[in-house]
Amino acid sequence: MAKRKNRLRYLVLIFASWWVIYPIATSVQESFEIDLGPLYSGRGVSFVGQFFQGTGGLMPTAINYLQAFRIEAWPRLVFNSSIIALSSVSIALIVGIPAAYSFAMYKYRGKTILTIGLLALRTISPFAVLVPFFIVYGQLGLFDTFQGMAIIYLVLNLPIVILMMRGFFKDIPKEIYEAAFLSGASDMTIMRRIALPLVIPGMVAVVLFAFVATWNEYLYALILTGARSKTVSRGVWSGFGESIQGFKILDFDELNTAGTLALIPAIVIVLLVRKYLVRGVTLGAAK
Amino acid sequence: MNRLQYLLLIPAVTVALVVGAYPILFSIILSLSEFSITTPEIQVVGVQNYISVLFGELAPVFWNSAGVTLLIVVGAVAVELVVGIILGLALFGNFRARSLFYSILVVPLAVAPIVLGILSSPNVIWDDINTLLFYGTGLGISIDLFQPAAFYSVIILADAWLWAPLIMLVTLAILQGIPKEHFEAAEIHGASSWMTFRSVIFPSIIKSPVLGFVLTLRVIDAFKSFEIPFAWTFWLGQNDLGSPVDTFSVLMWKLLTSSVYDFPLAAIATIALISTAIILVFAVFALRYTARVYSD
Repeated sequence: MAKRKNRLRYLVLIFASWWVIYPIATSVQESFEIDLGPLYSGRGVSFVGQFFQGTGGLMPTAINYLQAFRIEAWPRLVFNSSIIALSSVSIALIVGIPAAYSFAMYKYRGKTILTIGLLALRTISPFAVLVPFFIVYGQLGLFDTFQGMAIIYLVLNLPIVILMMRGFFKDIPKEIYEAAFLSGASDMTIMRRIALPLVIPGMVAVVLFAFVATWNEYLYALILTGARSKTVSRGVWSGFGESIQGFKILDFDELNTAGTLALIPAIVIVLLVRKYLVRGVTLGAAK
Repeated sequence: MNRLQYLLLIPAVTVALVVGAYPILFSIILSLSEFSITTPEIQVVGVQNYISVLFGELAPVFWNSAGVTLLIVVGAVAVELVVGIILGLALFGNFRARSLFYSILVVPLAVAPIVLGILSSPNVIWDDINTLLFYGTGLGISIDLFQPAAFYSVIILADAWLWAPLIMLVTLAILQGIPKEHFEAAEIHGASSWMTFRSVIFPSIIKSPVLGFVLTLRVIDAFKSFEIPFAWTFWLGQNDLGSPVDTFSVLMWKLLTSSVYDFPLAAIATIALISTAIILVFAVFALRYTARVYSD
């Protein structure tokens, strides 16, 4: 009985794993390919020069990666994305942690309304934010700048920071606060000396989680960045050379190279924080 | 001393007002104005933009987008819910290689939606699958991804690929939160595994406020979905307004970048506000979940 149940379980999990891995593996595989389609049009086995080729066969090459790094300035995109994400997350932490502490520690009227208001940020159509910022940034000269992007990503990062950190503050046993209070520590001292050091692991998880969210964001970057502050996710789509707006043919091998390069740090980070992942994706609602 | 809780909120509230309330107010003014390349000064003119979007010139493309968005939201969230719960159940318990499977199955949460827009394209995974179907099986069949049924399925499955792991994690968290005694009691009473599932496991999942809350977030996010349908406008060559893959976000992006229109920022703000209003009405229903999840 139990054995049959386990067999079903493994069947489901193996299929699901295949389902998850297959597109990523295809992308990685294609990133090492070069499109030789124009050279052979028949199907089945063919020869290119003296080399045996199956149609659509693998022709391993690192040329896409060389192009990414040498010609298309991939490191620059990584730099842009990292600066934008880190500064945005830092601002969100500075303004968000006190609010998270307040949400977690005190009982007062209006807290529920504030929480709902924070969640309502999420219901705003991105264009209701983008269009005003587009106009204002144009006037202030913040269009296509790191500062501008760091500010607009607060829409994304502030709720993540506040609601996740609220959960981490709540996890600290009440007795610790009570002991500190009885020893005569003031509220500010308790927050700075006792609560904050205890939530540092959580804070690291929040930073990494918000970093991935910002790294992966596409729409704001599409509209508000240009040549100077283009982010990784934008670089992924434009296949480096703005092929769509330009006259270049869309090259899927290049797109897949970019996609693979963008995936690596995100996957590493998500696996690093997988213990806290459920808090991140549920905004601290589940542990 | 008892003012501290409010003082601590000031920085966050200020930022939320700047990045949330201010753009909304700006959009409201914009939606009531005439503003475009030809009229670069913002002039408040009344509700003509709303009339244009809901009943006038832009009505066909607006209602088309409403339908497309609704289809994607309902389809994607339904698939995610079912697949996520099944995966959560499969991962619950102690068995060999559990952490390996867990690590593999959470990977999609790291993947940028735009990457998936590329991966799910006819040229990346589907040409392999079609080659296999056509030559590999010898049946000579293939999936025509230009059929609406096919591309809607792919878009929905792509979204489910990204977000089913979220429901999986939530289900797993719920299952791990069920007190051990409940399972023991079921065992003592000689309940079969199906009866345990029906009387202990299934009710805890369905009644969980956290699952309700997360589903609400999913509906809200799917309602704003952009990247995957955006990529599909290119794969299908649908550059015109009112195409079958125009969600609200894609429609607004097309209005913003199309050279046919004179940069209709006021119309875009109007559509953005109407779509926000629709999803806010839905979110009101979710407030009771919200209050329960974050109470205490």
